Amino acid sequence: MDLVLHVTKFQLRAFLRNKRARMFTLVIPLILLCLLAGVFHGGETTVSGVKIDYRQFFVPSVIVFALTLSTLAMLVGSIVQQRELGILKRRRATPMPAWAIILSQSLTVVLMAIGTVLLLLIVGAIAFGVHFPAKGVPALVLGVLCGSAAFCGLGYALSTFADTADSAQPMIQLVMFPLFFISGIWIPLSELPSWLATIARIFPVEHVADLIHRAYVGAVPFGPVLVDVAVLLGWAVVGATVAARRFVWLPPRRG
Amino acid sequence: MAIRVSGLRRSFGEVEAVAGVDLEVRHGEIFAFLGPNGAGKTTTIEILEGFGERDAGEVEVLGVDPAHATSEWRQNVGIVMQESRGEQELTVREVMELYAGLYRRPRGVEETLDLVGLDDEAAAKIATLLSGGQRRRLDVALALIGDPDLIFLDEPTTGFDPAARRDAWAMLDGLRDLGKTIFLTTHYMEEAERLADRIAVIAGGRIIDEGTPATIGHRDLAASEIIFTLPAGFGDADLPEDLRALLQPPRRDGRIELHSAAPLADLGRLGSWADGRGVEVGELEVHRPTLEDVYLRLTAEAAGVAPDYRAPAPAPDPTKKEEVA
Repeated sequence: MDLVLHVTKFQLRAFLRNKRARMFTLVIPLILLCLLAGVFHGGETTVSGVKIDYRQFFVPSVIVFALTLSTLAMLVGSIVQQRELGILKRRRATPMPAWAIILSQSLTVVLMAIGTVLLLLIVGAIAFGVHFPAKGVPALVLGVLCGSAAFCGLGYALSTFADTADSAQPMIQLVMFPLFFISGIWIPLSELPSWLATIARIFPVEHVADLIHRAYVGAVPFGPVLVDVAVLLGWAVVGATVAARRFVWLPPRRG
Repeated sequence: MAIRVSGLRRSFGEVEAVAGVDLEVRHGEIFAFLGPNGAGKTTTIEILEGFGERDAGEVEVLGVDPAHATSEWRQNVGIVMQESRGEQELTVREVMELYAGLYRRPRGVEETLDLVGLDDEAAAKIATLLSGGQRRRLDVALALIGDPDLIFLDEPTTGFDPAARRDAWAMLDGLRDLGKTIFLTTHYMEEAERLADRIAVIAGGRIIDEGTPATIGHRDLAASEIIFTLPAGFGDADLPEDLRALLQPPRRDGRIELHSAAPLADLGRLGSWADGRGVEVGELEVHRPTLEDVYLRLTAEAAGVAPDYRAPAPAPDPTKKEEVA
């Protein structure tokens, strides 16, 4: 475990120095937050049966978006790139066990994600007056942790389908954009056709969104929360299983 | 033995990349593993490093089968990969600290940087911004940071300028002095000759020859080349009978080439023949086949093609019984 923290410390440092990582995890979510919460307000929508202002809808939405970007997208990108550059092989050539390498990579992106979530919470409250209710904390924590688990598992699985960082990017976009669209973060699920909402409920993003939206309105009934957590942990297991079968450490062979 | 391999086989689909390799590498030696691209080199090394699966054969590296590489074993094995571009966004010193923290008894960071010749200025740079030669030094430094007994060096000087290559060789000599065992691959025969205690050549998935740089491919028994020109009016037909027997096919540069197992005696004959006719022999060169000549001949023979240069084949040594290769 000391090894995991040691490596995580250096990886976080490298991530914070990396322009693209800062762009993805901090700048884009902040811009989106300002645009959405700044432009759309005054209208009303319904989340989990509670009528709320658009702002109160979009702040948690951007948090879900940022969480997904900084775990799933960043993780897939960095694994594929580290494999391509031979860094994965070099790490594996040290006495560090495989699980410790995997854990430190996941921990790195999850810590980045938690930082971003906190930042968005604060900006949402100060700049747009969308306050976070204290009784929503457990649901928020569950959303961030179970969401991270699902996205890290999926990230490891998806990373096995791309050889190069160049080919990883379009693949990530292809997976994420439809999911964002149908998962109730840009368009409330209550306003989507029900068959589309049903499809959305198969995938993890909708369940993270459900937890975090519920946390923001302070309505966290036990049953739906349990379903969200179960689906997310299910995805984490599916992702980890696929990754365990397919994962490679070595860079793709040239020639 | 640091490495012991017998009957190693590995196929990818229809292709048998490694087709029965036997190898032994002694503790403390620099062992050069040579072969053309696609000969099975990388596959073999990956198996030795614990990164590749095998279909058959016995492999022991530092007393352990690398297929079951443990964390303990990795404490003692350093790997310099063929190509790497360094960790992103970390300085050289930070990367070194990162890796040093993964070993139980690491070498000192500063001491290791010193050993590979990275100065303070380089150590403060972001690793991805290093020059090619500096990056390679960092690769070597990272392989050394755990103070391993055995180091795999995959083409350590590819892309170096001649001065950087000399520096790298001096560094590898330093590792030899530390008592490290080094398993080296390279495409530079000069490098193998300069560094290696022993050499093995692989082609078509098999070891085709093995020996010291001086003896591999019967290099020690091989004929010397004697090359010269004759003045206008003289041709190779004018040479004495016993020298004509050594004549090689015409060279592109028009010079005459003899292959001689006893160069001093043959030069003496050439000298007295020329003296007797008042003829000056020009552009005279005498040399043994280089390691590169021998390597190219071995690998061309293994591929079943005639070499496109004319390196001398082993000549019978008059003082020894003829060896059948």
